[in-house]
Amino acid sequence: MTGLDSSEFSSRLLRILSNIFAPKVSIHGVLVEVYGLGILILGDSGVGKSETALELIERGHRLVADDVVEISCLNGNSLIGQGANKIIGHHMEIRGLGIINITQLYGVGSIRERKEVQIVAKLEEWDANKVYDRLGTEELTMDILGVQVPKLEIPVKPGRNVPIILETAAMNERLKSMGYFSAKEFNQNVLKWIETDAARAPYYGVDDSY
Amino acid sequence: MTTKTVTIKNRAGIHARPAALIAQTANRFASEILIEREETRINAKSIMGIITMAASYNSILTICAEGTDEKEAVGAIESLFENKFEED
Repeated sequence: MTGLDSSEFSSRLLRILSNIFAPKVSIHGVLVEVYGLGILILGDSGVGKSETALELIERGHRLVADDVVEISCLNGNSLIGQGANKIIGHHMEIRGLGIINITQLYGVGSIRERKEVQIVAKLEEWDANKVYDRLGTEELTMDILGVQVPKLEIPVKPGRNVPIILETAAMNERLKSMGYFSAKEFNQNVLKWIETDAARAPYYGVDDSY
Repeated sequence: MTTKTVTIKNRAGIHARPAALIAQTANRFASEILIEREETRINAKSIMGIITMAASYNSILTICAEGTDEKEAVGAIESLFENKFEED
């Protein structure tokens, strides 16, 4: 017997059941929380996903799951990612080091149980023939369980600091959600500047460079 | 796509050492190699993924590989299972 009203009870029950039976998928990647944003790092084996995540943890961000990320789609619009197994969760395999325990090494502040997947960062070997986004005005997305998640394609090569790129991507994404889109804003400013310059030219000539 | 069903014959199941063996073997091949256990499907090139399956004695797994060297890859991994990962 429950002391709850039947309307309250049934709504709680439905919520729990819909969470349990939510569509699930298991993805090979690393889920980290960077400045409050869930970033799912994808890429082929050996491209440096775990190393990137380790550097992010070192810089004060949090690990959600390494290697196997279980993603469930709640309410058809939010993707919640978590590790597949609580007992062996928050361990990472680093080539040359072996298996390390993140909770013990960096403390409980460096981990979390679950986090919404808000950006997908796909690491790939630098391909000289591929055209990478140079402006950031195009927005790529990736479909996970029917939800479109913003996607970044990040070419990796020695000497490129991927963790800093991901940190910046997280901050840039937060700016976008606050209504400030760096790349578009920049282009607007360029357009304005060209217009004003072009408008002035007939009156002042072009030799006003003193 | 080459697939093969295998049974775990060593008593301890797939713990850290066999997982490392599988991942090391899988990494020698260019093909994409997946291991399935019931609903879970993991990348055979990742040690943590293989351990996460928690595959115990007598459980049945399916190895799937896709790529240029898929047959060799499946064969190599299957022989690890056949040899009980050089255990007991």
